[in-house]
Amino acid sequence: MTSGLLITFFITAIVLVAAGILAAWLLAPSSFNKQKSQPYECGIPTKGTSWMQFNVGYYLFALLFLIFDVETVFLFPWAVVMKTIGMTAFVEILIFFVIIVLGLAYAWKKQALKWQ
Amino acid sequence: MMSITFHQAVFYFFSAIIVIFSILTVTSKRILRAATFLLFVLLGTAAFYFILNYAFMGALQITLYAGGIVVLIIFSILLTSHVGERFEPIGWGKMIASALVSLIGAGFTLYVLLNADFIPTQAPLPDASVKNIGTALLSYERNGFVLPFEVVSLLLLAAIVGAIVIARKEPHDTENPNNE
Amino acid sequence: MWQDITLQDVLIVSTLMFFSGVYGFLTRRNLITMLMSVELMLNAVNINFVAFNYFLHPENMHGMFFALFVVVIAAAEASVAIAIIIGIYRRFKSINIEDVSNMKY
Repeated sequence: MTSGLLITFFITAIVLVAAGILAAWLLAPSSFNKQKSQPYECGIPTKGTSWMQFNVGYYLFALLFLIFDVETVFLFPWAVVMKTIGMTAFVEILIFFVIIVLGLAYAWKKQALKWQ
Repeated sequence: MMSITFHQAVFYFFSAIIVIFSILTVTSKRILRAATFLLFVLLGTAAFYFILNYAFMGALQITLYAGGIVVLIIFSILLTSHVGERFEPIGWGKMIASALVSLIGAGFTLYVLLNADFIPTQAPLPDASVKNIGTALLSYERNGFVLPFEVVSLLLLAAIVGAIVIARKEPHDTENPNNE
Repeated sequence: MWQDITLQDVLIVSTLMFFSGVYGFLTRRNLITMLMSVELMLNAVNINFVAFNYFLHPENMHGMFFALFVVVIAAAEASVAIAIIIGIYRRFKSINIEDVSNMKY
């Protein structure tokens, strides 16, 4: 029963996408010129290649994102059971939270959050 | 051999994805492609967790690995690589020796595990709902995980501080050396 | 559900994944790709934890919690490792391990 439904779901998904692509390919007039194959960005011609050296600021932001991503993942099961466990859960998450926010405070103090 | 069920077909599909893209990850000549193949492997692993009914684990795999670590790796590639850089080919001797080591290791492990006699459990399937996971995570009794839960926060604090100290040091010093 | 998949099937996949990680770790000369090989190996071990938990001892989900904390620790490890790689790149202008052998002696 369930697997039959799933198979129908996948077949429908594949057929719909394939029909869309096929229809676009059959119906659309095809033409080519050099302008069309250029990368498009707000109408301004792009400068240089897309492979440029990135600023280290990107890394610091990605790092902070990753750490708080972890925190969010742990907050989610906590939020589900907070009401049934009560005060204990609150104190536990408070300790967790304070320790991680210390890291954010350190990053702030060291001006890692300032774009330069 | 009997016909394959739908479950098995899904499982084999994701197994093929994982194996093919793992091999492509370690053999690809371009570093950004290797990172993309790694992303596919991680998504396949998440699919495995969903197949085994551990939905929270699969979601965690997608948010942390595919959404966090791969982004970090791609940023670091863009920070440290040059235009169109490719790896210089490795020597044949080294490649053959490494392949031999991995193949012997894989063969030995497969031999052991195919001959091992795993006793299938009679216990009911685990109820891996988020509610159960949260209860176990915050419990300080037997089978509770509150100590690792709190220690992980310390580890993450250490990771933030260490990464900022290492990655940020030099531009700060060169710009205004008497600020510290 | 899913009774038609055995423990061995899952373990074969994770073994192949682990040893492709080993191969990458031995052949790659670039620090970031070596880190990626290590991530492959960690993932294979995680699959093992979850599969053993599911098929052999499903009572308390210990294996799943172990895998959960391994993922979190892998996040911390990757962030520090990449910070070190960026530091090495600043110092040596290269992340090829053949160029970064000053500390060997």
